[in-house]
Amino acid sequence: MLLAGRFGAGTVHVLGGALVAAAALGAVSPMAAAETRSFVVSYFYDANWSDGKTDCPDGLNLSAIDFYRRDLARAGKTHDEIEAALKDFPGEGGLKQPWVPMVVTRGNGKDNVYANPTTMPDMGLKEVKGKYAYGFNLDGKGAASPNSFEDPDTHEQGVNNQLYRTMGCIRSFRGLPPPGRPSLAENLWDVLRDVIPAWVVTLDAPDGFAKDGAVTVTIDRSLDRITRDASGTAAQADMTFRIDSDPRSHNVLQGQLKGGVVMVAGGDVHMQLDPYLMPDLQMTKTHLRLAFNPDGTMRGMIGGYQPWMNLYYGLADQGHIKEYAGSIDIPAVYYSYKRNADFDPDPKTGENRQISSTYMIEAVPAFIVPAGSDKTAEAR
Amino acid sequence: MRHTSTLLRLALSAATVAFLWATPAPAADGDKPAGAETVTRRLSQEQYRQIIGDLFGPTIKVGGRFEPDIRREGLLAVGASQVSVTASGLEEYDKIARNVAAQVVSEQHRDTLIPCHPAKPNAPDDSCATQFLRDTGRMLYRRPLTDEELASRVKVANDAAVGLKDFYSGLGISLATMLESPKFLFRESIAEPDPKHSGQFRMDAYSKASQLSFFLWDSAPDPALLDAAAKGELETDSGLAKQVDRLLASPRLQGGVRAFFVDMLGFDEFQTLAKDTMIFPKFNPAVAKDAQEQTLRTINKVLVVDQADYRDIFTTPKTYLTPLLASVYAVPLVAPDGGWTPYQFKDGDPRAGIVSQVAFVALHSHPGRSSPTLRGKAVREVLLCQKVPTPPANVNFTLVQDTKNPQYKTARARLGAHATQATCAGCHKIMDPIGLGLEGFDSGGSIRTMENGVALDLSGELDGTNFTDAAGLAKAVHDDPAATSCVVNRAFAYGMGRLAARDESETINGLQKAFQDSGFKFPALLRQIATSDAFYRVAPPQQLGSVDQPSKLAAGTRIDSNNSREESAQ
Repeated sequence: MLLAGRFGAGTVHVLGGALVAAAALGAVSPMAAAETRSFVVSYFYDANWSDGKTDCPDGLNLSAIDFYRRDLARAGKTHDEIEAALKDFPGEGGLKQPWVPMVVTRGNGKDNVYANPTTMPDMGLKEVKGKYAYGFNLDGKGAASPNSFEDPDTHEQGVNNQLYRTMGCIRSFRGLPPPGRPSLAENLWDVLRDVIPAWVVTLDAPDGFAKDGAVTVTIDRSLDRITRDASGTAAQADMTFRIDSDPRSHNVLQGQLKGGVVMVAGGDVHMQLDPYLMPDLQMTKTHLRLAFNPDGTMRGMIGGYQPWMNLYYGLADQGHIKEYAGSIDIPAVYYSYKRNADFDPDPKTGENRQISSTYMIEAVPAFIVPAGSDKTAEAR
Repeated sequence: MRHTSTLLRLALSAATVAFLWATPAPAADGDKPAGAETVTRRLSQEQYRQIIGDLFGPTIKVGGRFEPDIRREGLLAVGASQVSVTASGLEEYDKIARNVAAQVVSEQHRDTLIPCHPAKPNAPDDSCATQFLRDTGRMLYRRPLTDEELASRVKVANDAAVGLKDFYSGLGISLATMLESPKFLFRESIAEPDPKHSGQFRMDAYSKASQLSFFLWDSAPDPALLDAAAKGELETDSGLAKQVDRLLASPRLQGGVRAFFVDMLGFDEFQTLAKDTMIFPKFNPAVAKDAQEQTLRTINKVLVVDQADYRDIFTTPKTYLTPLLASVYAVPLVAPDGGWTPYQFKDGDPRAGIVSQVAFVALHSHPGRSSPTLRGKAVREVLLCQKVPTPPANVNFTLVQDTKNPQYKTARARLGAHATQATCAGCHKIMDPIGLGLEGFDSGGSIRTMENGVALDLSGELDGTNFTDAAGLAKAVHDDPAATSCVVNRAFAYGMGRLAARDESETINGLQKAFQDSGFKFPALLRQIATSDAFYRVAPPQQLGSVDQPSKLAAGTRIDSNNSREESAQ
């Protein structure tokens, strides 16, 4: 049985013997019929809203060379020593560059600052102080939620997105203009998606997508990778993907379809990822909002709480490379994560271990089949 | 000096084309047609590669830029008899030859590709060089080298080995001279009196072997075929039939059939095909490559593997897909290795046969929009061998190209308005009603049901046969007698390198009848052609062309698909 299909341009693949239902999105189905749509994730990146005016009133964080100058001066290096080390910054970024060993040990002069961020004092990352942020009301407190935002599109109050608060004023994490892809997050995903197993999303609507009702969202990892389309920017639509049977990346969420938008509020999501970006996505109280585009593609957001130490080591594992490439003051980010974490307090310390976050998802139609499929499924 | 000499000989060959015969010659023996002049054909890029692969194996790479081919009378195979080699082309052939030769004599390959070892590796060895050059030359020239030819090649190897103090380098240089020789690069046909028909001429045995091998395998004769030629076996009906059947039974027939359809379907045009990636993001070079392969695999399956009716290529729901190509068709396909998988479209699917496949609809479209006109023209010219007049130079295409025109939202509407111009209507009515049946496929080959929000009407008509969709068009082409007569004419012209001559109409008629009697089995058609006298008959030599005289074209008349005679527009 074909697990899932796709839609677009007025056609719908229907699975498991179910009836063909709707035509184009928004058309009224003559009768409700189970319908499935499936997609492969083309882009996945931090949902950072940046208008360039109100989001970072204190200005942006320093570029890497500037916070290196600052930190090395704090560590006691002389001006001449610092400038000599940074003379050819960044070079090819390898360990032979004179600045590299200095910045790697800039905390106490001996330990790796990325593995031991507390060897540095909190240098005070500039954080988002604006009104708006993409995301969800994860804690259910609405406008009463401390440090919450307003979603710029839905105008929902009480949006919890402290990951954005931390990262949103770092130059490479600015989503300009909204809903732009932050440059570093975009670049990392752009590299990763060619080599990592694809992420696939299947939406099952028992009553079809033409009417409001229940919907089941299944997020899996595939055994196959994406193929880029002719533009080189998006994934080729309508490719076939086999689901990886590894249960660690199999997620089933229950949601609602309302006005053609799929919404999920609650549930856990775990996806194996890649150390280049972060080892895995581990999300609690997951929320989803997914909308269909007329061309058959899907766009939306996924949000929830994540262990902030996972996020930190996703940045720190490449040390100075990701730090200088993205101008991310990694020890400062450590303190900011710790400060802004807003969920799951440690019973002993009382410090929150998870941080609210939201990512954008862009996906194109795809065919999804079980892992064991070794032959062509039925044509539509 | 060697290099200059080779270039001169190439240039001479390009200008004179070896043998020029009057066309057509008077029949000398009863009612047997005298045949047309022989043609000399430049090897295509694929033929060059195939021969090198056959002779030296797949590890020898053929790199470089080949001279572009030209299409005449619907076939590159006919154009191959009308091309020469430009100055830059000569340089490229020289580079390619030197590169191939260097690989053959390299340390990596010499022990397997050279059948002997020199007495001293840093000195000439005429005995070993002779052995290699004699055997290799026979395969490259498609005939045994004359004693003079062999001696001269051995001398080149000797001289170079002395100068370079290396036997293999010397041998490589001599091999390169053969690879850039017109005797390799051009297929010559040598005429001799036909003992069975007084006053008539035929190809000699080695020319016959080449004619046969390039026709069925798109490559030079193999040793067995050259041996048969040497023994005179090709001069007897039974001997010729034995070799024809051997070639037809070989897996290499698929390569020959592919080459024919690559030519007939004009797939060389894919080299310049471009699509607007913003409009058709699925269509990329890999899709274009797979699309051609899909059509060729479909054809090979029907014609060679299943030995089915030729007309089934227009209606078969069976094909092959890669995962990437499946995405264009918007069908699921599992192929973990990314390779080809058999696929069958369901009954009622608009995809049936090669006309609705991505290769055909994408190739005959504009970069940003489909074209019922181009598609209809292609059906007529490519599949039915019917000539469509070229449009006048002053046609105003503005309305047709305005895909956002609010008054004419579909191609049907735009073409309808365009055809109200008297100068346009005549030709469009023989193309558009065909191509409109394919409007359900966009320029990138994907299915669509609407254009600018308007549901597409896929009805059309082909020479009195009405249809309502692409499947109906496929059936109409399948049932059109012009489709089978077209492939007969094309196959004959492809093998001969020229159109059928005026006095060969009976031959063509006979081939068409035999094709029909076989149930339109394509291998049967190939066999009928390959065993016919006409395939090897040439007009008597009357004069040898001069350097200043350009090569004459093929026959002065041609037979169209309806077997009516018309003067060629040469």
